[in-house]
Amino acid sequence: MGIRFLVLAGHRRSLPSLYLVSSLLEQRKGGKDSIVVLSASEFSFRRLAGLRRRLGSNLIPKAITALGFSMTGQFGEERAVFRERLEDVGVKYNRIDRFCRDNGIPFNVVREFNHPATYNLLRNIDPDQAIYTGGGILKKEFIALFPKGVLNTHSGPLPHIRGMSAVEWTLYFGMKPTATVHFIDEGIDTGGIIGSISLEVECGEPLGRIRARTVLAGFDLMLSKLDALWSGSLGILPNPPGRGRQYFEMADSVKGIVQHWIDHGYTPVVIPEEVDPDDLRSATTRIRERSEA
Amino acid sequence: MPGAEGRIQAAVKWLCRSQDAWQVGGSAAYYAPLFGWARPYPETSGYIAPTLWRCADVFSSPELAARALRMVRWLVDIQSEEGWFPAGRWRSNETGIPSVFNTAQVLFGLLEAWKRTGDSTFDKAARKSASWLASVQDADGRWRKHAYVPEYSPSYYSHACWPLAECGVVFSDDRLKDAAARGIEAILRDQQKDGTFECWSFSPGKAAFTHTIGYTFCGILETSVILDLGFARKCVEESCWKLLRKFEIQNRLAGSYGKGWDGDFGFVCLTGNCQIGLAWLHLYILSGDPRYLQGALKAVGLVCRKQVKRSVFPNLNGAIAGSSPIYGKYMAFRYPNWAAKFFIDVILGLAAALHRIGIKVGGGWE
Repeated sequence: MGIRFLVLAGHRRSLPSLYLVSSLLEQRKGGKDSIVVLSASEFSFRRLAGLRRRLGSNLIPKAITALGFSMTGQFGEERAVFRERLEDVGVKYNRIDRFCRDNGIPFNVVREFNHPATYNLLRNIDPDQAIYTGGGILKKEFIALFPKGVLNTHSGPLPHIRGMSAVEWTLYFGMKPTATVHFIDEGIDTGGIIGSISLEVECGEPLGRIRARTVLAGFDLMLSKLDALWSGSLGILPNPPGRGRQYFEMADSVKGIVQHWIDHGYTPVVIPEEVDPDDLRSATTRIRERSEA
Repeated sequence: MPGAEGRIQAAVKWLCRSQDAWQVGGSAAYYAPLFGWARPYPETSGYIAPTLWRCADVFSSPELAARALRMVRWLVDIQSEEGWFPAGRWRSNETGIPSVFNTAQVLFGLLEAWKRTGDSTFDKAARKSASWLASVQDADGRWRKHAYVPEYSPSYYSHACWPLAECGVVFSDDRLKDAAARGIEAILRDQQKDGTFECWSFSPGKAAFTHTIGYTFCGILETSVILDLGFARKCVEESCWKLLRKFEIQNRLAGSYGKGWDGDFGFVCLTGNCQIGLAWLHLYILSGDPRYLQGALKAVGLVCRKQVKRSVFPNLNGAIAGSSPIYGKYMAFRYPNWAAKFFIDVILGLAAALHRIGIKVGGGWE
């Protein structure tokens, strides 16, 4: 009897979720392990209300791209990177439900993850390991359904940067973009850490590309750790909630600042391990100090 | 769409029009499209003068400096023998009634005028006002007499402690410093566990507009820095953080907040956004925590979008309304001069903060 993986997808057009499912399928090909995909519906009232709060003005065009209906707008660069990577691994699909259908992977859509009906469905599926790739904050009742926990790739270094816009905040502080694989618990990115990987940034690289590359690097790292995790040979690193800070959706104006730095050669110079989580110096300050030293 | 500089210039031009409306030196309290310019307002003219001087420096404009000086000279002219300034809008045929808060706000202008000109007229006027403020303070640090609502000493009087503390330092007067510190201590006794303040609204038991919340935050914060009151800074930082977190999660500031941060999201108090932005900006400068900088940028971004650009009423161009929508609960259908003042202050502050981290401000922040 193999491991039954449950992949939680943000929505049916989620390219990163599609990449993870296709890579997991490739990795587990010929073995006894199986995959089930659970996707949140794009059209639940709660979700749309959340998007309304998060995206504020110009909700409709932003929501259309955020939910994967368009390749333009602020998420366009990100999706282009995902698309390129999917083509590199030979996946021609744009929708995860169609990929699952053609590859014999059970696919389910639920109105929302944190709902008793979803809990009942999951009890029937009885998965061993959940992998989160999107779909909103998970409540403790949901997390409790998985004795082996829910794995997540956070697009920032932990415990330094918790919460939203993690790639952008990492760059703001002059750190190399870092993906951290960790378990989800009740807190905001406070579960135990499995591993992390830092990336280089090129001068002038758009934030959307950096964000997408970070997500993909995190997925690759997660997949590479699965066997060690299940064999019990992988140590879980602590992620103390008292360290670091929770950040919020970065304002477009601040994103503009970060992009401006990258465009003008202020690419990150330090890896998070070299930085105290309570050190709040910005990238420009850090780079200026380093060059003066 | 003008950039930050264009926005400031438009707001400054509007303030100049508000000063020219009455030709006495003071700035008209507000403009209402149906009724025109309101009478000059000593309280807000007091703190608009330093803003005009700052703009005079930024734009190298002697004209703005002359306007600021004219504004303060007018204030000295209407000062009472005892040192107080009148409540409400100015009327040439009335002496008016003394007001603690208004007198303190005028101190901002008097102090700045003295620092800039060295003219002893302003020094004397400032000392007189500050002494009067200290003399009418109750033993427990509150000001119950000469209040906006009789016997009600609100938390936003922290914005009166601030200039008093500054006077104490500038004139090396321990009595003034002590009065300011006691005022802050009294206000902090009103702070609730959830970070709200019991008396931060205009009248007891009412929800507080973000305008008075901003006064409360800025007053405590600035006084704590001037007098090195670490405990006060910690207390106000807690409240500021709680509001910032709510703002980020809800993605908007309410126009007013009641008990337990019960927000009225039916309108936005635009001047309140600017003032709270100023408090967050100051916390960013003190702590380096960019979440405060981003909060300020977001809060002010909305105000930028609401600044009047091209109106059929020429007197509206550059103005900031009391509320958005215009019929909101705060200063409905009116464009107050203090909204323009705090807008200019916060944009100048943001521009300086962004400059420090290597950004030249060209475009708008909306």
